[in-house]
Amino acid sequence: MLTYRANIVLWFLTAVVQTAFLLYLWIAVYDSGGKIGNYSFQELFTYYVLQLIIYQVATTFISWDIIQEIKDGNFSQYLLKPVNYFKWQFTSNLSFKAAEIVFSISGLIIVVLAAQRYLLMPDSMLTLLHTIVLTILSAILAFLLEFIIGITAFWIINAHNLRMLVSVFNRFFSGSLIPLTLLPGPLIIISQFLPFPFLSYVPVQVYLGKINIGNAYAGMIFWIIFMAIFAYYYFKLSIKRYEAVGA
Amino acid sequence: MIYRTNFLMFLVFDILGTMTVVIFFKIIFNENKLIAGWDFESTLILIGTVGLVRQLSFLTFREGFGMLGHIIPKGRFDLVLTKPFSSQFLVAFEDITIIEGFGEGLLGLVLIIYGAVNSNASITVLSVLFFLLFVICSYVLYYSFTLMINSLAFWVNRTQGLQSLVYNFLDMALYPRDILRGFGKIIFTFIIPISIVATVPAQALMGNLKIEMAAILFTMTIIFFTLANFIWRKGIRRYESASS
Repeated sequence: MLTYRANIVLWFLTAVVQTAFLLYLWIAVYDSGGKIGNYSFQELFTYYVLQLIIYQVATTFISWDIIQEIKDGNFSQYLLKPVNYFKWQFTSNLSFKAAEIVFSISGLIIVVLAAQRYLLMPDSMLTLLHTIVLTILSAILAFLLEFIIGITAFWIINAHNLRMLVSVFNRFFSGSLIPLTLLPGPLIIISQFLPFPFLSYVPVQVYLGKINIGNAYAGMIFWIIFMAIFAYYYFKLSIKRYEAVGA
Repeated sequence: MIYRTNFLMFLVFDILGTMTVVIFFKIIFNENKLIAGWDFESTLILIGTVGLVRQLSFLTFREGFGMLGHIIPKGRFDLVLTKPFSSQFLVAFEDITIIEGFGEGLLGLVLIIYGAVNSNASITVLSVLFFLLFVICSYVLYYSFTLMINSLAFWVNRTQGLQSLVYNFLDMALYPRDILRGFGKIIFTFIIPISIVATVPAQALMGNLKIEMAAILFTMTIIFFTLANFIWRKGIRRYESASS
């Protein structure tokens, strides 16, 4: 437990440093009179801070755990009741999540106090509420995605490679590098077919008032249902194949 | 067959990762000519340099040190200790692979050359030599950092977080150092020296390196190398006392 907590701290620290560098970059741009798209400096700053917090709260690393368990051959113990494996991953993840959320909120408070004048407040409590709800939903979506990637270890030997590949797309299309509306046209089109924008980009944009709330919910729920159904059948198929091979 | 897919995967992964960054900077530079005195072409040299250092590290010690997290908890480190060579170099260079994928290094070179050709910097044979010198220096610095972090495997059980830390270390080196200011500048030069890893070689190539920066890179490399070896030896001692 202690080592896992250390991992969360490390990951958060890495994310904070990365965000710090991005912010330094933006300060350098805006200080010399430059601009990024139609974002004011405050909007951009708020974007990155929020993006960092929400991304941290929403995402998990369970794909790594699942892949390792399958590779190490520890999966057999779960074979008796496969549906419970999903539940087990979900609930054991929740307790870590709670620790992460506490940690993130403390970090958020520090940032808010330190950089008040750069941060934008939401235009209403309702907006804030929507942001929070969408963040919770994106956590569910993130979990489903991680689960699906994790069980590809049943099918391919180098599941870790796939995991890393997807994480590159994940990072990019969840807007952690740059707001998606600033991407070149073709990439914006691609992003609209991927679930990744809903992981942190959409909740942040709702907060900033740059996205239609109805569309946000609709898209989010669509992806959650789609991924849930996909995960269910994919998992069942994987188990069948695993049992066939194992026997 | 497995190696073939692995190789392709790495190649794709490397190229994607690098192109992501290039696109990112292209978007910013579309609207802004300079950022803290750097233009797009010089930033490409920066990105390419990071790619080079990363490639060199992948070809040599990255995998080896990364394995420490697996070997040590399982007690397999004994095998390394019993050999008559320096355990550090055994672990570091055990896994020299040519197959792991040249993607990052090649792409890095392409970016450096493209950036160098298209920038208005004065590049001479001397500056290229200095560039190579500083790349090697940064390589040793990264080696030390990686060794330090992975040595924690002697104390900590699960090191997956540490792996991402090591990888992301270089990720942050591709920002021009001149964007940093105040506190951040000090921390990221002297405590976590990521800001100098690519900036110093890049500036050497373009001919605008200040001598203090070169001195800082050398000094930090020596400090980190010494520190890394210290931690490594402490770790081995801990391991030996634990297993006896």
